[in-house]
Amino acid sequence: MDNSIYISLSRQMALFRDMEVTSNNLANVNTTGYSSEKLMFDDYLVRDGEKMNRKMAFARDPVSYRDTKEGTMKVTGNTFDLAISGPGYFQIETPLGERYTRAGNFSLNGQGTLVTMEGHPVLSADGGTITLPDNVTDVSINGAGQITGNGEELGVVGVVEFENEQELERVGSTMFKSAQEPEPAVQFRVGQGMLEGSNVQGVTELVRVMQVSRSVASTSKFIETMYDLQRKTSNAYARPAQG
Amino acid sequence: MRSLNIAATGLSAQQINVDAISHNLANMTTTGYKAERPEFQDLIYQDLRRVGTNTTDQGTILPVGVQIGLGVKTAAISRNTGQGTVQATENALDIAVQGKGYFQIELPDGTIGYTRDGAFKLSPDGIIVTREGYSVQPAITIPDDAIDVSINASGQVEVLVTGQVDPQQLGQMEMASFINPAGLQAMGDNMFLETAASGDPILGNAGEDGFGTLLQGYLENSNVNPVSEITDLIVAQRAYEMNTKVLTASDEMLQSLNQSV
Repeated sequence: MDNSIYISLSRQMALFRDMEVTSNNLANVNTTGYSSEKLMFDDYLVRDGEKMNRKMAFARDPVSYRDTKEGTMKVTGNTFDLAISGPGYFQIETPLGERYTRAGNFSLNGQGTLVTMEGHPVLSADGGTITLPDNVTDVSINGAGQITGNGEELGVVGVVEFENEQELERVGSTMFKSAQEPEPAVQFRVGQGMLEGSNVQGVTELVRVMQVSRSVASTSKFIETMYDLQRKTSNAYARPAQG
Repeated sequence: MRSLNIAATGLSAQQINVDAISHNLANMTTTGYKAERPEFQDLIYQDLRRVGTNTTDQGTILPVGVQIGLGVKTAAISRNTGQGTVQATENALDIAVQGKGYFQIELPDGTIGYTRDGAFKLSPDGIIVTREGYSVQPAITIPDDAIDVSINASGQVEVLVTGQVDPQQLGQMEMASFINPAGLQAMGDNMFLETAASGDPILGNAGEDGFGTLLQGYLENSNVNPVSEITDLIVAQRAYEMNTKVLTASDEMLQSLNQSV
């Protein structure tokens, strides 16, 4: 009988984790370039020790995966706001190594280098940083990421892709790191003056919140009932004199 | 329980979002105001199962892990430095900048402030000053017998003095531009200060390479787009509501746990 409580407990713990993942998605419903995270459940089968043909399934949440669907595009009109349409990531040079992001809210720093909101330089297609001259005025960036200003070509914003996109590890600040070697992306378009919004579906996530919250209530109820049953049983057995 | 704190980060982020939107809407008709936009980023992640770890001694690895994010943070509030519309005022000392460039203003403490607000006035001594009475650099004094002041597209100030046929040239307004104008520090009164992020000011005359031109008798309106601000406000409000819902649901989950034990 203890097994039924432990199975419910495994479900309960998975539900709490699901709530954490869902609440992180909702907290980032307005975060540029954020892609939502989903938990995947499976069952962990064990055989009952005594009766070999009886199996029990514990709930497990062994993996979470990233929804790589494109977010909604939002027009901002800022020269250095870039959005990637299609698969691909911008390459960012950080003190901890190369990072990848789809959040293209870049700007120039005091030296004219294209940087992220944290001040990390954005890498060009050939792997160097991109620095624009002082007096540049009309900067335009085309679909392939080529930057032109004052009629001259000034560099190309690098866009890379990976063989296994799911392997990318989130490191916060809408950036990812990867052990894989990035390859130049092929099927993409860079949009200037646009940002890719978060791909979190508010309504779906809200429904998930409801489901999880109700499931927790019913699982608790179940555990409570099981305890009740145990208590009654032990009460019944614990009255030797009246039998 | 992490989801309570995660929802709290979501609520405070949306609060900042609404704060920024209301600031933009409040400054919709402020001369030379540039719209602000908060930028959000996800917080750090906790690895419950790290991606890429070995699952067996045969070298098979975990293709995806379990990462739980801890919410959202406000990374920056960036300024949209795009051109605002210009409005005719027919005032001789109202000047709009079309394109890049800031007027240089000497602040009372001697530092130089930068502004796009060209609603200038004359001090009792005839010096061109801002609304606060701070002098525009380089200081230009209009003689008291001047009939008419004209400021051309490149910032040359000329006056017509009583009894003279040819206009008299008084000086040249010098403009400052920055590599990263979004990095300037706003200090209120439509004034900005240079920072390490904005880079050093590049001085030059209006109309030269990398500088916009001046327009006398006009003022630059704010570049706030009310339609997009209202849309953003609705989105922010809904996002706030969703995070409140997570807060109550998490609370109910804890409640049902407490009641069952």
